Amino acid sequence: MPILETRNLTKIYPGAEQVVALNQVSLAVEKGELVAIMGDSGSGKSTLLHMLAGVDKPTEGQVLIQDVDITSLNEKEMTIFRRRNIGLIYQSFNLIPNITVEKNILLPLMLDQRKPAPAFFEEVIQTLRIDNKLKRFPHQLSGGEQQRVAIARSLITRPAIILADEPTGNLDRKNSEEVTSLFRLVNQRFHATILLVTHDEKIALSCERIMFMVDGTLHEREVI
Amino acid sequence: MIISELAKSSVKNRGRSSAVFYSVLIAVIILGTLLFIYSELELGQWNYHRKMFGDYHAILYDINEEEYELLQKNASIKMMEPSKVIQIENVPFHRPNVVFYQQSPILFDTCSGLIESQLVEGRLPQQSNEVLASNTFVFENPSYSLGKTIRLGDKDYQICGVYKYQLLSFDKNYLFYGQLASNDSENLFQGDSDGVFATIWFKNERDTYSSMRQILRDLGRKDEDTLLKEGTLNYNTEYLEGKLIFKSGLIPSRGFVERWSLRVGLLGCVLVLFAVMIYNAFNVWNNQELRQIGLLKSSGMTPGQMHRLVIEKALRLSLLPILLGLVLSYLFANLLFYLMWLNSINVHLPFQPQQFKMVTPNLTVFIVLFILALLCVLLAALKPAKQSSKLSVIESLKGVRVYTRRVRLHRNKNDRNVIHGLAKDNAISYQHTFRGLSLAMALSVLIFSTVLIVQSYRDLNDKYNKADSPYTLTSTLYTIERAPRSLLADLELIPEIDAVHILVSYDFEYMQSENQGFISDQLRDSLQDSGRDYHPRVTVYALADADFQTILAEHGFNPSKQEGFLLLDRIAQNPNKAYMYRKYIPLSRDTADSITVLDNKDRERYNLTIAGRIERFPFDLNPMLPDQIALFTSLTNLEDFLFANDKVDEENPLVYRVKVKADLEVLPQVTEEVRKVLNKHVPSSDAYTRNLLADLAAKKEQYRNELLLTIGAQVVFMIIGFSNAYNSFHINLQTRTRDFALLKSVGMTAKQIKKMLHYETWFIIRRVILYYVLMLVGGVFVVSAMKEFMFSPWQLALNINYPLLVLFFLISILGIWGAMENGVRKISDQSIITALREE
Repeated sequence: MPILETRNLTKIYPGAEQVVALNQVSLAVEKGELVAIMGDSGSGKSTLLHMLAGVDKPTEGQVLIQDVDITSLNEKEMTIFRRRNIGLIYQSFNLIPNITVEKNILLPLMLDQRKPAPAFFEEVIQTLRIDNKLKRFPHQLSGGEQQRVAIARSLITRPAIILADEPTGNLDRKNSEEVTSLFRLVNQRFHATILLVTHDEKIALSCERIMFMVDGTLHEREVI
Repeated sequence: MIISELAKSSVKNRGRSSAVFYSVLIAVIILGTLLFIYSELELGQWNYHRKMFGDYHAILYDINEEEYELLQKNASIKMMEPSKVIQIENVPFHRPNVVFYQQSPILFDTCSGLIESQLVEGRLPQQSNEVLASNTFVFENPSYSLGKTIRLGDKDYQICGVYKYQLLSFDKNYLFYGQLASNDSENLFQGDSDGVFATIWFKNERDTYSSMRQILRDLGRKDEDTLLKEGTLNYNTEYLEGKLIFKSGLIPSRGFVERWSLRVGLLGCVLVLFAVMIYNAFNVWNNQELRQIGLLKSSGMTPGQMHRLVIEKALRLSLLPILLGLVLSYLFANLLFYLMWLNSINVHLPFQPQQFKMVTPNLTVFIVLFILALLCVLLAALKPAKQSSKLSVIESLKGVRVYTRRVRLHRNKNDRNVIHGLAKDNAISYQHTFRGLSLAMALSVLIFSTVLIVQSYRDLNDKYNKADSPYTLTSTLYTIERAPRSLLADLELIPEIDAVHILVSYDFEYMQSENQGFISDQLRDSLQDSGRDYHPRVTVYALADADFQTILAEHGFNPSKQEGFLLLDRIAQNPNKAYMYRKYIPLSRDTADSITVLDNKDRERYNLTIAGRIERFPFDLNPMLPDQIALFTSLTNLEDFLFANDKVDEENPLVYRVKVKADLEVLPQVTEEVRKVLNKHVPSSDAYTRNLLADLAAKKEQYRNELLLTIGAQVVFMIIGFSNAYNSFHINLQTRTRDFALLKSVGMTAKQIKKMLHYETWFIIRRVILYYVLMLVGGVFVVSAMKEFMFSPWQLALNINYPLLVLFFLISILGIWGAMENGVRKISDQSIITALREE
């Protein structure tokens, strides 16, 4: 059973001229997969990501995560679901600037009034090499380090899926490669299901599955 | 040109700029109202004085012919107008003498407003053969009236006007006003003249005091202060001070400083408040246009051009509310004065204006207000202009991040309540965005607290800094004869009267050098400790004979062997304390059996024997004054002394005070009865009666006006507070747009966000309450210290009008809460995508 599934997902923006951002997108992602979605600017990939994260509602279709149709949840239910089951990473400004790195990582658990499993927490921060940066503030970290913290936060609740929207878009080549390799590491070590939106072919090639968004429709290409 | 076009188009978007519009409008209305009130009180008062007394600079009395000629040649004098007083005796009128006061035509035109306001019929003299007579003269001499001819001295005059002027029955002189003919001016010192004086205008009025001092030196006259004390020199002080010309040069008089320091302080605080208020509103509006700024910068607009654009936007946007505010502030000031006039009508005071008079629409005030408002707007726009010009293209295209570097970071130990912990972190990190709100709240608290503390002091002063007099009615009689003994007996017959006493007094000067062994050791020590000077006057009080006998008997003195005076042998150890809390120490040494005094009128010395000592003012007729040595004797004794030594005449009549104790319910009837009895014994012109009800009514009006002003001030500060709260929350939440989006995407529910913001709001309110308490405590200490701790800070604090203060707190807090709820709604409506979108 796929951990993530979309059925005929459609998003139309009304206006003087209607914009069909997503057109009958059907997608299935199995647990533990590392998937890249590529596409040109304006192809609808970020819109798809927003639908999957539950931050936007489709015009038609369904999104199922662990068999839960998130499109039928109300805002509060969706927020709580997202907190517990979805990790989100953006291109930049991922962290709350006025709280420490440690708090940034633990934020979803704290909001759920849960404490982290110490061993798991330790493993996450060691894997991401941010164990010595817990007491710092975001502005004291480099771009790459900030993205690592964002990845740690996305992992801490052991979510069903991690969604990343252009996570290396603001990084230089060295940091991009590092972050990309971290995604692979996290995918392997924690069996995290990760869906990356990117326009960078190099990053896409590091994933086991690549999909293409073209004018709101999704196409698959297998990587051997 | 393009900058002006851009500024114009930006201003057209009314929806976005409405907060700035209303902030400026409110600021101008409040500032304008304050200025109109000041102007009406000060300028109105100054203009009134000028109208009544003229714009002369100084008057020098008792000048002789030589001095007059010297003054005419004096280069510093622009204009000098003479006046002459002629005493005419044995005139064929009801009273034997006439004092004929003649002045030049210019003085009638410019300096006779007071007399003109007293006109009952006719007009002021316009020719030298015309004269003004008093209504008393016309009443007592029925053959003379308006238009009739009267002979004064060796000339005939036509009565051109009748003015209101009360004379005591024993006054021997009628007062007439006439115009100096041109040949009179030349012959000022010829013929009958009892005094010539010159009204002087200097070429440079700023040199009034220095020029006059030089003139006095040139004329060989006594020094300025002596002449002022004697009354032979007079400055038009109120007029001169209105033009900021002071006797001590650049240093204003104490009264001027006291009057204006509070006003200027208040105006200054209000200006700062408004600049902050407009700055907050303008900052919000400007931040909404950040993307446009980014685009303009990326298109090539230089920082200097951006600076100009933001300033021009601010000024253009503010023009309409400033102009509207000018008009509305004038109307609001009128409304305030109208409410006070209505209040005075309800209280039914004597001498109240029958018709409401509009506030003078002073052009200067409008201009000053316009300039101050523009200045406020300009100051408020400077910082946003600077920030906008320095902002990078990327930052402005992405949205608001201008405060990033100023976020204060705080490592909070892990709070078991994560929402509370996050709220605490945010409250500390983003406190600078609430600076405007905190400053505005602090200033308004300072002003409001000061008002309440000063009122508290005034209330305590009214309650405790006066002698508790049991008397509810006082009549004052002027006479040059002994008081009729049957007067007291007739007053005692009035049934509702509980007690009645009569009192007369005479003042002497205390001779320090001749009373070396007089004051007590305790008083000497007290004076040394406090470092204060002691220059008392000696007042001899005479009680009705029977009352004096009662006092003698009460204190065990033998009335038949009574020679000399009873000394009130008590003085306040610390006169700075409120009257009710004063402790009293002996005034004199036990061995002091007399006191040497000087009568200033005839420079005669007297050695007054002290026959006994008492510790209270008899019958509590008067308060015990710290600068007075009171001696008591019987009415007969004092009258005998005064008449035997020719101390009583028309110029120095005896002033008897009749003190009556009666219940307030029957006071109006008692007052009428007392007046009837007095009129039986003395002419009605020689007696005046006043009861407590008039004082209470005046106080009631004063308190109602103050309450009106306090509530008005409260409303004003609350509007300012709400405006600042709204704008501050807006800035804060806008700064954190992305943070909220992140929190939502991480899984913070709307309820959790709301709870976090509630906590943050509570932290702000807690800080505001702390400011309130600190300002109150500080203010109480300052006011208490300024009044030399007449009342302790604790007493002042206990007496504050707490219901009003609590109401102010509550409404302010509600305003802050409302602004926060408004912000929460906006966050809830915000889409995560829009907030997180990167261009």
